[in-house]
Amino acid sequence: MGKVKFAVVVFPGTNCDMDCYYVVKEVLGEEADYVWHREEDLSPYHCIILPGGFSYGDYLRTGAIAKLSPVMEGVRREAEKGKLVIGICNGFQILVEAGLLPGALLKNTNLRFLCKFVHLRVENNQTPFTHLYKEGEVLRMPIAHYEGRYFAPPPLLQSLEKNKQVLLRYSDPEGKLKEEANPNGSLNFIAGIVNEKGNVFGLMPHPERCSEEVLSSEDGFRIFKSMADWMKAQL
Amino acid sequence: MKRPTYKELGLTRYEYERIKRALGREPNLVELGMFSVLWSEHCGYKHSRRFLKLFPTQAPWVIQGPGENAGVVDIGDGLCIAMKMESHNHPSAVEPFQGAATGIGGIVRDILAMGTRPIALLDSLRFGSLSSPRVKYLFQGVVSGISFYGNCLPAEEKVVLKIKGNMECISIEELANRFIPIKEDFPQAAEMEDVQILSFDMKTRSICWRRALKVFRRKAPSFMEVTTTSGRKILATPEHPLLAFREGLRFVNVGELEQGDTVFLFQDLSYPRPTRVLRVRDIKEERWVFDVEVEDTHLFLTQAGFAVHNCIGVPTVAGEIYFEESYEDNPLVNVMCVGLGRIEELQRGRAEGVGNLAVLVGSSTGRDGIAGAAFASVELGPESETKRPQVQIGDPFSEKLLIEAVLEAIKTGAIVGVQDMGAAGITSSTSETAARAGRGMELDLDKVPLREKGMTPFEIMLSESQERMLLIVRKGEEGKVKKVMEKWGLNYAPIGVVTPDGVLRVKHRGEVVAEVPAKLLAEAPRYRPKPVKPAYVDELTSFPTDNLPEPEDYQGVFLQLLASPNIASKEWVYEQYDHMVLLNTVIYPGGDASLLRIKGTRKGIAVKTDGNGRYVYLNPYRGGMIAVAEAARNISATGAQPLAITDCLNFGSPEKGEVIWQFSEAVRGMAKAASYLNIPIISGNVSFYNESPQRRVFPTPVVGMLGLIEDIDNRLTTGFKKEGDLIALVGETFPEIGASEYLKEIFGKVAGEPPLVDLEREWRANKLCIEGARMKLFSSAHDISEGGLAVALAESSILGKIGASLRLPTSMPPSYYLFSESQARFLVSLSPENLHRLEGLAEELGVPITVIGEVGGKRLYIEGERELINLSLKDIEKIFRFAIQRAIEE
Repeated sequence: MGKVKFAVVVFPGTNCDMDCYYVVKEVLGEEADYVWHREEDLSPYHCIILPGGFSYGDYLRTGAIAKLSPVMEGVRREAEKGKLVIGICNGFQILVEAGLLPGALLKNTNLRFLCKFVHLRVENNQTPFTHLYKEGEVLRMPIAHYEGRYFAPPPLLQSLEKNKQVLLRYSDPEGKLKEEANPNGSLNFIAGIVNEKGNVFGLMPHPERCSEEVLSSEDGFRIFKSMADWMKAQL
Repeated sequence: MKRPTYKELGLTRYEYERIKRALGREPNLVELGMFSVLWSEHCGYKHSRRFLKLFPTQAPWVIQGPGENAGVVDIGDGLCIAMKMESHNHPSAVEPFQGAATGIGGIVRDILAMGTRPIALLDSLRFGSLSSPRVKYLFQGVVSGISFYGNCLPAEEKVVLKIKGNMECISIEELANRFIPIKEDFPQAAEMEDVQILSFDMKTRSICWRRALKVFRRKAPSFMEVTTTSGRKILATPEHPLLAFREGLRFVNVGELEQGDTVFLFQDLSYPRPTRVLRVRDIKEERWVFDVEVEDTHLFLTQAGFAVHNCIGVPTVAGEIYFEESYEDNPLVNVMCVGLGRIEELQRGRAEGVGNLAVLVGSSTGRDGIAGAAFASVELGPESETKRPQVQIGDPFSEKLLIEAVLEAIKTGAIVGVQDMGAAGITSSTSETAARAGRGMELDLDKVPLREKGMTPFEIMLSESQERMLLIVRKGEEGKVKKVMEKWGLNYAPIGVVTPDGVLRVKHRGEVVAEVPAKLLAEAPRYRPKPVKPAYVDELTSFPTDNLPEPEDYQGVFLQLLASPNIASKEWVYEQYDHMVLLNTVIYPGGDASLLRIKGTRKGIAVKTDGNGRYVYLNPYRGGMIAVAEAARNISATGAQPLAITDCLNFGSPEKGEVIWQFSEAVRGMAKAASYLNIPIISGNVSFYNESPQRRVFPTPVVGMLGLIEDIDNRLTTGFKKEGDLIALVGETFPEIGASEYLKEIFGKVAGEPPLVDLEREWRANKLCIEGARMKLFSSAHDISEGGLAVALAESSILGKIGASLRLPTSMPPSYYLFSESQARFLVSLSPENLHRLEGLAEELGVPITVIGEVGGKRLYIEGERELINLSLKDIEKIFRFAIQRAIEE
């Protein structure tokens, strides 16, 4: 069986592209290509990563301009075909702005950029992105964002919860949902959600920053591994 | 324009005569302007050069010492590290955090110019006392973010502009007031020159700078009033967009809002809160509204909240902050950048090869910052308030594009030289590259992409527009470089050709407007004012510190020290910077030095900045030595071997004898320590004139140090690791309270002699730490510095999340033992079975070690002849971690 091909999408201002590329190639051992934002054809790839950064400088709303990029047409097309799309941090914001994921991401309640490790609880492991985790498992992952407070109006929030679309929640180290464990004020402690179909995943924490022991946590690695394994099973 | 005199340009009569003699004729205006910037203190090092010659700059591993864009060392495996530090003190006097976070353009370009990729930034910050409201504001770097774009905006709406090249974020009302000072009832408009506004180009779907041509002000006759369920009312014109949630965040015109819509309202300095629309109604009421006409597009953007982090994808991994009254008027913002590259891809700022092209890449040139280098070379006074540049936010987004584009261009192999275009812009970059190569250059100013019409050769040559670089491109291969610049949407402008004659010849509209030997520009005259020892030194150092009363409540004193902003955790700061991007940071900020791995090898580099201005103020020679010695201990405490130094020397006006005395003594001390410890100083920067009529900053040499560890598995961190580990003191404690944080915080005194320095002890203690790390003897290691042993112990406990108990092995009064800032010491922990080997190593190296306690439990316990401190780790941690946040919120 061949290698799984990941596309790492690069917008002007993306800055976690090299990190995602490194994890896929060097840690996971699969194939990766950088795809410049002007490209439209993503059909050669099995998985698409929208990495973090400050696409187009984020001078407007985060992600609001990236969603107009030609590459987002390709992302939309591949997502419809059922390929796996993951948006990390700014990538999550872009997916939300593009309407590929529901809800909105607002400025952190403390109005500060925050770069630190947080704890996350796995809420649903029945997805292509989380099947290598246990349900209820507590992970340690870093966040690095200014606009990561997840918001959705009550009806949407209810349907997200009902469909088990919330995959990760901020928690304390014991997995308890305590107010002080919520770094940005997200509703329902939401750190990551998946679309209804289950193939588009967005999360604020950075799994690529904790995929090796030397970086003090490996808890993010199984997200990439889950994607690759799941894709291999389909091929 | 009236021709300015040499005096008005900042040159002295002596300098003018010298130029005349060298040229054999009167210089013309353009030439005079070129000399005035290159012979300024900032570029010419007129007062500092003779002292800087004392610095050791050589070692077998040094590839590039001072004199280039950055220093470079060999770290083996064909890899090298470039490093450089620079100050942003003067531009940052208004907004230090923006200055620190995003005004890093110049230093990043210096690293880039060596052909290395910037991989880490370090900030060294000095502010006034955190109890001052102004300092608090500056420190916090308050940025309120309101994101809208649209047509007719209410008065408080902010837009992002470049006015004469300075990036500003101001309300649209303020913009209108600047250009239409007199307010009338009828609609008004004014044309603007050299104003660019951040816009969105619908065709290319990209963000761009566009010329803002006109600003409008009018009264709008009618408004809509939106009432929300949370009880708030907003007034806006019907076409005013509001952020609402309709299947995601959308801008919806107020006129189209319906009952039940969710909208987000921004309150002052608060986050946007979702709320429901209860009612929308028309209101017939007049209000002022504003608009801006933009070239080609009318879609401009309003501020989306510049946070205090950087977005160029380079992690800010370490640094330090001190608060001291002397920095109140003149905060210091020093930034160090570190780059990684392959030795064979190293670039130099040399214009080699006659016939090769000098190409300007990056942003267009405007009238901004003309003679900014000269500005950095005067004291800040009352009238300089008006001279101060506007809050410069820099343009990190363009900077990031420039990084990627230049690195990609270097890979084409078509480039023979790279130079940052910083202070003195085209003049310095072309003359420096030509002078280094012993060549000349012929420039055609008609080829320089300009932002404004009608710029004179004088202005073009002296502009300091940011985000520009000079590339020397091999003749015939320019197509390769051009293609790369086009991909990244940056200007590619061949503005000159390398010539054999050593002359910088500048043409404008077919005429030669300047003709000067490049070498002459690079050789500013040197001055030698007489050093005068200031009277305060003897007065303050004679303060007796050997008989201070013992505190009644050691716990209270200990907690007060931990809450001192100079000692408390700087988490509040480093959490606001991305310190992880690029996946190299292996030891995060908060301990001694930060450690970055070098991917594809076992190696790592340790980086740290340091510089205690208080020590230098009281004894500049000793303080200079300590700056080097302490940085070295920070590096060794990670297990890395110190390799090289970059520095930034922040002082007052060099025209004053007292400042020259401080400077010469501090440099002498640094040189002595750097030579003894064999850590060459390979690049640096001098920042003079850090004074106002009221205050002069403490003389503050900041040392940025690089270390190398061969195997990152041997790295050491600050936090205790294991129950039952022994705690040992490496080195010796003397009753040295002079110049200490304890004396300042508890007795309110900045006085006494700073601790003694014994460089042989330093050398041996460092060696013990590095050897011990290699032998895997230690569980943790931590440099002992401000606040002494007690603070070091608290830090190791808090970071390790494990308690400790200590018994003082001394007859010294406990406060002296606990809070002394004696040098050449480390606090280490180790498992008991390693003690024997450590003792052996210590004996071999002649370093005293004393076992003073044990790791374990959830409390910090210290006893002397009686119990002195007995506190739960939780309580200590709370004070230590949140002291700065509390001080700001108070």
